[in-house]
Amino acid sequence: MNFLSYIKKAAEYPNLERTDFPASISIAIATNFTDDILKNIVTGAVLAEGIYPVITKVPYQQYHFALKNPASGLYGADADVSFFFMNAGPFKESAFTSANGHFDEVLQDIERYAEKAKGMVVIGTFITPSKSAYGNMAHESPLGRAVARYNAAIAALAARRDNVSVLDTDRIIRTLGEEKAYDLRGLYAFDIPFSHEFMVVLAEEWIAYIRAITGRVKKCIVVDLDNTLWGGVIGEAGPAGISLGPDYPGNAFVNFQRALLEFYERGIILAINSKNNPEDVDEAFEKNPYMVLKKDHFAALRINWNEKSENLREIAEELNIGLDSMVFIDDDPLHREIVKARFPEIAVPDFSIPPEEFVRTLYGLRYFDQLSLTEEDRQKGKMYADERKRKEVMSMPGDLSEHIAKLGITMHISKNDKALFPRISQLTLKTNQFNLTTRRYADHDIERFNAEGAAIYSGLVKDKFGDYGTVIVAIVKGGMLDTLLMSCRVMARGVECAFLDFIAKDQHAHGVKALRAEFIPTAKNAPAAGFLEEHGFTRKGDGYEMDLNTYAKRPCSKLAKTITITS
Amino acid sequence: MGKLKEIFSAVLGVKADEITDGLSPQSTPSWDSLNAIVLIVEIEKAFNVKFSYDEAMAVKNFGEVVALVKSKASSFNE
Repeated sequence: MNFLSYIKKAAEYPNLERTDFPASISIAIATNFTDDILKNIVTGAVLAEGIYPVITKVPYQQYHFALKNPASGLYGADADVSFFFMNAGPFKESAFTSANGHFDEVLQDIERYAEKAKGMVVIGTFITPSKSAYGNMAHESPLGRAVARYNAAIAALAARRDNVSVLDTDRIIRTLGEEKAYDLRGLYAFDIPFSHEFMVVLAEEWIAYIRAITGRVKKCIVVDLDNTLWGGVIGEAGPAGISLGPDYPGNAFVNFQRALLEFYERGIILAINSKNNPEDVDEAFEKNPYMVLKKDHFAALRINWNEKSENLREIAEELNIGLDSMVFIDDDPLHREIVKARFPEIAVPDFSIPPEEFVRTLYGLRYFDQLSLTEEDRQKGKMYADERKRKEVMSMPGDLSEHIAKLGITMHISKNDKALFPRISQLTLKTNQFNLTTRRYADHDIERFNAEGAAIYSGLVKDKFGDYGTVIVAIVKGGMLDTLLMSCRVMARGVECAFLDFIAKDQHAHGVKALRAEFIPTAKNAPAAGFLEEHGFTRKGDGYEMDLNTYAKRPCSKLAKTITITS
Repeated sequence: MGKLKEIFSAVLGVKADEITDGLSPQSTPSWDSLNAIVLIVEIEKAFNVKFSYDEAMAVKNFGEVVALVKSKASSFNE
C-alpha cells in the first residue's frame, strides 16, 4: 500500500472501536524527530492488517525524560512492542551527532526499559552516513565512526536480551536510496527528516515484527506450474520443450525454483496447484534435468482440472493449516482474482511480471518474518513433505489405530529444559488450532514462568518416517493448566492424550491434588474444544478441573497406549 | 476524481464533493499544521513540482492551492 492509502485508513481510526477487531496490539514509539506522520502511517498499516492499534508516542523531544522516568507514558503504555528509532543524519546537528555520551546514556536507559518491558523492544540502527566533509572516506568521519560504534552497541544489547531485536535501517536505505530517504526541507522546517516513502517502508518493517509477534506469519507457498515454475505449457511443449535451463528465460525459472528451494530449506512448506495432466507433470519432474525442485519437496499436490480456489481449500485441509497461512503464486491474473475473491485471507502477490522479476519479488514478500528461527522451523518444509508419504500409509484400508501403531510413534517429554524455551515460545506464537488458551509468549515470558516455578513440559515426537520435532507444549502454574497446545502435524495420533497422562502423573507426584484448566474459544481453536471434557476434566465455575487422585489410576485411550514415552 | 482532490480527500478525510475552492484550514479542522505539511509533500510528488517554503505557507484555501499548482505544473487535472 502507498502513503495515501495508509493515511486514509488512519483517518478512519477515531470512528473505530476495539471490539470491531479480532485482535489489538499496544505499540510504543520513541524517536528524536517529529513523528506524528510516522505514527499515522503505522496506525493505517496496523489497521490494514486487521488489528486494532493502541499507540503511545513519546512526545516530541521527550524520549530522554520518558526513558528515565518509570512513571512516564512510555512505561505506562505496557506495550506489546516498543519501537525506538533515532536519527543521527549528517545534515543537521543533534544530541547524537554532537556528543557520544548522549547515545551511551540513551542506550543504557533503553536497556533498563527493556528489562521492565513485558513486550518486544525493537531498536532501529542509525543510518550509516554516506556524505560528509570526508568525501570517499565518509566512514572515517567522526559521525561515520560514531554510527559504527552505536550500531555495534545496539547489536550487543540485542544479543544480551531476548526481548530486544535490531532493525537494520541501512537495509531500508539500500533498497530506497539515501536521496529518496531524507527530506531536507522537512528536516530543517519541521524536524521531519524523512520522506513519506522512507516512513512507509519503516512502518512496514515494524508491521513485519507485529505479524511475527501476533503469530500472523505465512507457512506455505503454493505454486502454479506453467509459466510459474517453468516457462511454457507442459501439456503442449512436453517435458523437454518447456523453458527451463541455462538460457534466458529458462534460467530465470531455474533460479526461481532455487529460491523456492531456499524457502523450503528455511522451513516453508511447498505445494503445487496446477491445471494439468498429472502424467505430464510427472514426466517433467522425472525427465527434465534442470528441475531444481523435486516432487519430494512438495507437501501437497493438486494437479488436476478443478477450480484453483477449491484446490487451495483442499490443500489447507490436507496440510491442516489455515488458509490465512498460505501464499499463492500464479502468473495468471484470472486465477489470482478468483482466489482473492473467494479467500481474501490467502496472500496472492502479483506475479504478472517477467520471469526475471520472480526471485526478487519472492524475496521481497514480507509474509515470512519471524522473531527467531529454530531448528524445527528449518525442518518444517521437509516434515510436511514426509507427511504426504506418511499419509499414503495411513490412507490404506483398515483400522486407523492399527495404522497408527504401525507408525511406531515415540515421544520424549522434557520438563523445564531451557534449551527448548525458544521453540516453546514459538509454538505459543504460532499454534492456532489445537490450543486451549491461545496465550502468546515470548522467550523471556517462558524464562520468567520458569523462574517463578511453573512446570513447562514439551514433547519431542518421532515415528519411523521421521521427526515431527517438538510439537506439544503445556505450561502448568500452581496446578493451573495455563497453556496446552499441539501442532496440527500430530493431531489424531493420541499424542495429546499420552502427554496429558504424563503431566497428570507428574503433577500428582508433586503434590497437586486437582489440575485446573480453562478453554478460551477463538475463531480457530475448535479442534481443542472438546478436549478437556473428553479427557477427564469436569466443569467447575468458569473453568474445568480434574481430580488427579482418580485420574492417575485411569489408563489413557487406546491410541495413546501405542505411544512409547521417555522423559 | 482529479489527483489534487484525491490527495485532499485522503489526507483530510473529507469527501471529494465537499472539496470546493473555499475549503480552508478554518473550515476544516483536519487541515492542521501537520496535515498542511503532508499536503505540500504529496502534491509536489503527484505533480512533479516544487514549492518554495513561503509559497506553500502562504496558501489560504483549496482555490489557492489549485492556482499555485497550475502556475507550476506542466499538465494539470484538478
